[in-house]
Amino acid sequence: MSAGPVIRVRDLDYAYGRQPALQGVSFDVHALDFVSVIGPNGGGKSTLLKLLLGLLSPRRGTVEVCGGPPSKSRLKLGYMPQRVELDPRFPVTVMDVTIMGRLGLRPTLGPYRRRDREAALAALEATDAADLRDRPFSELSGGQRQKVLIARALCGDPEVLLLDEPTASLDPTVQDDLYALLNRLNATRTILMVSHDVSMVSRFVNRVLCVNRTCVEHCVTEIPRELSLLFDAREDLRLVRHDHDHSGHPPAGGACRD
Amino acid sequence: MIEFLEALGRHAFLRHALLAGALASVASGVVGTYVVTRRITGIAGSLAHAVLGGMGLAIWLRTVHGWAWLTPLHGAVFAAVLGAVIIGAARARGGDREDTVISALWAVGMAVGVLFLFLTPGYKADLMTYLFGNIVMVDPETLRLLLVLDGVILLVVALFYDPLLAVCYDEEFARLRGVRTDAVFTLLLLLVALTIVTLIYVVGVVLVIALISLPVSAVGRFSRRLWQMMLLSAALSSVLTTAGLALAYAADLPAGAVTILLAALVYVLAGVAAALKRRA
Repeated sequence: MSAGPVIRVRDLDYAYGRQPALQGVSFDVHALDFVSVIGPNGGGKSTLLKLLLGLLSPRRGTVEVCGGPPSKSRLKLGYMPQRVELDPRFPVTVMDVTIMGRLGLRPTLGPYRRRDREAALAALEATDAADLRDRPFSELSGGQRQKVLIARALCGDPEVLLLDEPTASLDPTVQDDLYALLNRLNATRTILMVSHDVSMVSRFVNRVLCVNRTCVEHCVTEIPRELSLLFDAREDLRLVRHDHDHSGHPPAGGACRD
Repeated sequence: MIEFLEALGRHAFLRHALLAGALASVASGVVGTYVVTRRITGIAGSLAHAVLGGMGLAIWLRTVHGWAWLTPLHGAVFAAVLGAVIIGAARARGGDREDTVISALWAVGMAVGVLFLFLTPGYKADLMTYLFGNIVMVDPETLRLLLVLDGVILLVVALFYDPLLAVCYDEEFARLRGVRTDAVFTLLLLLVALTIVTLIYVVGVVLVIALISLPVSAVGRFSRRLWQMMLLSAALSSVLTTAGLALAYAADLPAGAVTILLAALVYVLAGVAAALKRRA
């Protein structure tokens, strides 16, 4: 793994036509960070993700992923799209979906090899979904589908996992389960996750980026023991200082890396 | 039914028609599975009518201008490939005009076909043949053509099954994994075009659209995987074309129209069965 940041964004501007979506965004993501990108709907979270993936090109500024432009480094990224974008009636099994993560690591012609099958199975095992492998994808519950899509992102052996709202519209217990899984995967992989719920996220992530046209980093700090008792909380409760206004001006305080 | 079997023994044209139906079913079942799951039946319809324009133009050039070497099949292939490339390009460039291009191609193709057949002396009656086909007129040479088409389709699908599946299911993800999705999609459109051209020759424009969409949609509710859907829809199409032929022979009706209505009936019944199963 390279010594520099895994993701490096500098002075990034992007606009849809004349409508600015992102302005002056700069941040680094380091190896084994667990970053949550939060912000209001339409604030530019998905645009940022698409720029990191190289599906969009910046108007100004630079995006580097794993030391190169996104278009060159794509295969080092494991991407999980929002579930709603997939056709629920498409005839595919869990294995069919997972093994798509092996595309790009095999010749274009001919069927997947045994190696691809083994990697897909290993990824399903890593996300506790191996027993689902022959089930139709359409029959799975919401949480099971998310696990399979994470496995698909995982089976290309990526350095970074990019997840778009992995816990959207899931039961709280299922969300807990999924975050525990992501926390486990974070031991060996950098994770950048778009999310809308700050409360859950803060238990595992070490950094929070708030994107609303501009991008502001929030401090994630341990809450003093006495304070956490007040909340009757689990001991892994942490504090996200959401202390900037959303007018688009960064706060005077500046960055908070420790 | 017995009557039909006896007639089958007596008449070579019925045996040819039966075989043509089965061979067409393989192509329409396999390619139709992609068309239905990727939700591009509109593109298939558009290409089918573009083909009509190509055939009309070729017939006009051949008859009126003496281009004897030019057959309607040449015109059909030219129009289908051109149409596939135009739609592929409109898609790759993005924007929301893709379905406008598809509809325009549909209308213009049909209009060009009607216009040139009108301008060609002695061809006015042929329009109905191209719309509904005439499966009982199939000769051994056309059967060989169908066999070649099936071979090409099966070969391409065997080689590109996985990228085609990935592009149909989740195009953005496939692109991020380094698959050249625009090229794969254009390949798919070319397969669709090739299938349509050949099948129009056998069963006509309208039956092509019916065969490509109805049996596939009917078995779609009962298929867990893409290849199962291909197998089941090819089998169902064969049954439908055979039954359509038998019914048409018995009642002395046009085979194409009877087959289409049978396919529609099975499609509706499958929908009802699926709804009952969900409720149970």
